[in-house]
Amino acid sequence: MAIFLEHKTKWVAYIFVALSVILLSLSIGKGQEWNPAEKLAIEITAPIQKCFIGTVRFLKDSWKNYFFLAGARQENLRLKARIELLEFENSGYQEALLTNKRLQDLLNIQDKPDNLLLPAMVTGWDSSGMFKSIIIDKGSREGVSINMAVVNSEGVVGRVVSVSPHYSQVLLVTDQNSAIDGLVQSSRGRGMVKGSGSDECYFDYVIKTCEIKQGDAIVTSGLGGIFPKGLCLGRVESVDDSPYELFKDVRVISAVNFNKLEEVLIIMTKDFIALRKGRAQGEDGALR
Amino acid sequence: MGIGGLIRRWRAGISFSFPILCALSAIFVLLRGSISHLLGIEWLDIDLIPIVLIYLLGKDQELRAGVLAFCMGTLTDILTPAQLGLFALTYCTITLGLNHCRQFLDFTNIKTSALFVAMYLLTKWAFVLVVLRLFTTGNLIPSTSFISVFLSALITSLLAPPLFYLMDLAGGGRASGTLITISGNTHGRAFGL
Repeated sequence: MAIFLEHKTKWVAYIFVALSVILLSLSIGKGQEWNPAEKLAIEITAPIQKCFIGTVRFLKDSWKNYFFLAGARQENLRLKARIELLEFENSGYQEALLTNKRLQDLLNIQDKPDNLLLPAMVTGWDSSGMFKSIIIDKGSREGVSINMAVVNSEGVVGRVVSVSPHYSQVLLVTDQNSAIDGLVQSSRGRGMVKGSGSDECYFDYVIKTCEIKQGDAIVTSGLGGIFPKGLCLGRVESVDDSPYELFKDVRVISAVNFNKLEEVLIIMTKDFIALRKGRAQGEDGALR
Repeated sequence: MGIGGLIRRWRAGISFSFPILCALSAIFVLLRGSISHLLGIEWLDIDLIPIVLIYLLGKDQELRAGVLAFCMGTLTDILTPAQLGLFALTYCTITLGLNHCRQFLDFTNIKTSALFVAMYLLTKWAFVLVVLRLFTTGNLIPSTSFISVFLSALITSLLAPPLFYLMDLAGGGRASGTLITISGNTHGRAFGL
């Protein structure tokens, strides 16, 4: 006891190191899910991040809406002309869509399951500088669960890895630990889109016979059950076909511009939709 | 306590105490990712926690440095998809190592202290990679990151002297001469230590 008191400082430091090792050992093999203590910490700390992001956005929007309107009239005229052009194009596409629908009905092809999209706001970015993840303001109370796909209008953002009652952590496609099965949209060649830690991704395991070139779109294959088929992952930036390698070396630029990422959409799973429908029917029954 | 009381406490060097330093560090950890994202410097690993830890070690506050290292490491672990305990272990081990070698290290000189900050960051990266290698399937970081790591260490070490100065100033200490801002036991009053 006397020795402990004499070297109290050093002993406490050793205890902290031992505690860290215990924490690390306990968390290994349990995935990236938050435990109850972590959930509590997130529930306390995330509002601070949300408040900061909200303030910055408010200031940014104020600047854009009130002080940055130089040339707005010219842009307005240009956009009106563009809308006219797009409306003309759209009428053609509507016709094609109706034709497609008619043909699908003829072939009896079932429509894609009606995915429910839940919008969420980005409240925080990864604090370590070593991983690529975000925190969003929707959690288990809103029906979010682990491994749900997160997208935006541009393409795949990532997947949910941890959930607390009001917040969730999303592992971005660009993180080194992310791997999504993908297809080359044009040639249907298969591969695996892996994050690199930067804005670039690798498209691995592309066989030599696969036709792939710069600019080709890479979409999700639907395998793995997390991401629905056909979501855009990115575009091929470079293809290196070395004769000494087993596979082609393909680099992909992510479809999502993460520098401008503010809102995302969570694709709710079929189980959640069925549960919600069941609840709604139950409520209807109760009303009757 | 009125404003006058607060100013008296600040002059006495007891207003900016260790809990405030912890709170500021926690806010930094919380907002660091968002700030880096807004500034478009996500590829840089500007970490101010090693600066605070080196500062505390320079003030002979090993225990407080250990507590801060563990708390901030754990908070970082929670906010990242890393295994819980990874950054806590990293910060605690490096802080403990520095403390053990303190008889060979000159914390009284601001230049060497800034160098220790750079070394701390480089060691942190090496340590995290080793632990990731040992405990997970072993993902490699891209080669470009090595440049960003060295650049981050350089920028953070350059940020160290003004922050040492500010911490001394905030603690109510006389920080007119920059070299005496981190001078071992001679400045025990800063941060109410």
